[in-house]
Amino acid sequence: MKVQITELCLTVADDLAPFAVLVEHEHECAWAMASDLHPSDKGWLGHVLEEAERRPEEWWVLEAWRDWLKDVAGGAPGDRREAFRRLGRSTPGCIVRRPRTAATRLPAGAVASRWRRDRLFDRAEVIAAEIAARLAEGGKAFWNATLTIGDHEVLTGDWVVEVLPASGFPRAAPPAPGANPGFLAPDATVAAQGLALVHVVKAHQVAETREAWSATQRRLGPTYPYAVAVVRGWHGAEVMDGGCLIGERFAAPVSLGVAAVRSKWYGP
Amino acid sequence: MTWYKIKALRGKVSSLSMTEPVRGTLDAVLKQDSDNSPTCVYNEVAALRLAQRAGVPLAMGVPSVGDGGVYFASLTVGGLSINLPDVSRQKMEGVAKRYPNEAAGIFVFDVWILNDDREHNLKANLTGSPLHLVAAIDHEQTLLGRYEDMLQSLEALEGMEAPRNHPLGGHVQSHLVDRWIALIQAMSDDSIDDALVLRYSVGGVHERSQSRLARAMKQRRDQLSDLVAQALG
Repeated sequence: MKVQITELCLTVADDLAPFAVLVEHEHECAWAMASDLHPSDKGWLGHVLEEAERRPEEWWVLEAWRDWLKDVAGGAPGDRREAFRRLGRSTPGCIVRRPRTAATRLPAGAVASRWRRDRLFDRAEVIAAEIAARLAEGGKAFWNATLTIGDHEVLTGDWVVEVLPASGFPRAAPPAPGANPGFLAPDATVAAQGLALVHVVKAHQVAETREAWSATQRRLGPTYPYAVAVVRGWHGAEVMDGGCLIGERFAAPVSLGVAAVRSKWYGP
Repeated sequence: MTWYKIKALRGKVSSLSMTEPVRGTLDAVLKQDSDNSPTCVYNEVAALRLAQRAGVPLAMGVPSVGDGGVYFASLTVGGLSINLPDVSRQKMEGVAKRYPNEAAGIFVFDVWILNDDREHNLKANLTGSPLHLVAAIDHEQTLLGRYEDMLQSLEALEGMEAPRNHPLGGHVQSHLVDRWIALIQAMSDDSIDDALVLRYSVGGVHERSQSRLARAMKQRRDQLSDLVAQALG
């Protein structure tokens, strides 16, 4: 099927920074914003406001945009076109990009949701999240894999995977890109839906990390969804067996990750 | 009152000035007469001048001249680095609740100037932020622009036509509506003439049309209670 995708963008000099999307398919219309609109969740600021050279303290304006999107998505297609037309005329700094058509097997809501994830999080983070989620599907907490590090230096060892809770746990902002975040205690988990943090530790920290993980698991119980992938070594690492990843803090996987991305983001 | 967005600050006007004024530019939307809206600039200017006399919160603007001719420069409201979206019909109730006096003023004013185009032509902060921000925008389809033909618009104004489905109509408080009717009815003939008869042509709107419009607006002022009742009915 074909969906029509309309992006709303903030202008940045001669460039555009998309901050919201409406995805239409026949009478269905879904929307998404590249923001969680939560004061404690500053992750989006870098992707939306600062990127668009806007004042981050004015994040609250996006609340109004969220309401506007909700109303427009709930209206008739003709009313939507009219709202877009008026917006372009009365709201400097905001551009409604010409709609584009995309072929997909996904419903409009899923397309909008994936657009949001793509905007909100670093792509490598999202890919890593997909991998961690897949590895955790079978409840597989530990597994053995051979890694290729740097110039084909091979490492074989244990990995630890946890699945982050999707909700109901305290939030914390994702660590800065390139920073080693340290082991994620349950009170410092990143609760964004579907986001898993691939965590890198030194080889000598593996035992300690396992221990901490086990303690966490015991405390939270066997049904606790868990999720941090812990990689030995702070180098670009590539998992050759079982399908994981390369990269530094967040991996850019070439095998399982790519498959996950293709199947989950763009449809088979 | 609302704030307006500064686009850029430049150097000081003079280092000798005691008040240290700075040159700057404001963000504005430039509107021009077109085939679809041949009286746009005059309508915007006239509506603003009327509103300012009554105290109705319309976004500020100024008549401007550029290489492309005459424009109405409507200033971007809010002074925000991200502009607010337009208020949809669904949110008009929220506007009337948060800004009851302003909403009533805009409603009565719209009835007076025969504005049936308020949906999406209002900026208001309805978020959790305490910033007081409400301003009506876009009046090209009022007064002489109610219909495509200026004469037809004048006849509608003279014929006491009222807006049919105003988005604020069902939400405004009657005692505030009465207050705004009284405020507008307190405007003198001279005040309305001064607002509308500019003594020079704006686009294709010449003094004769401006005077005829002023006469119609005085009649509508006198019958404003009936017009409001008609719009609420």
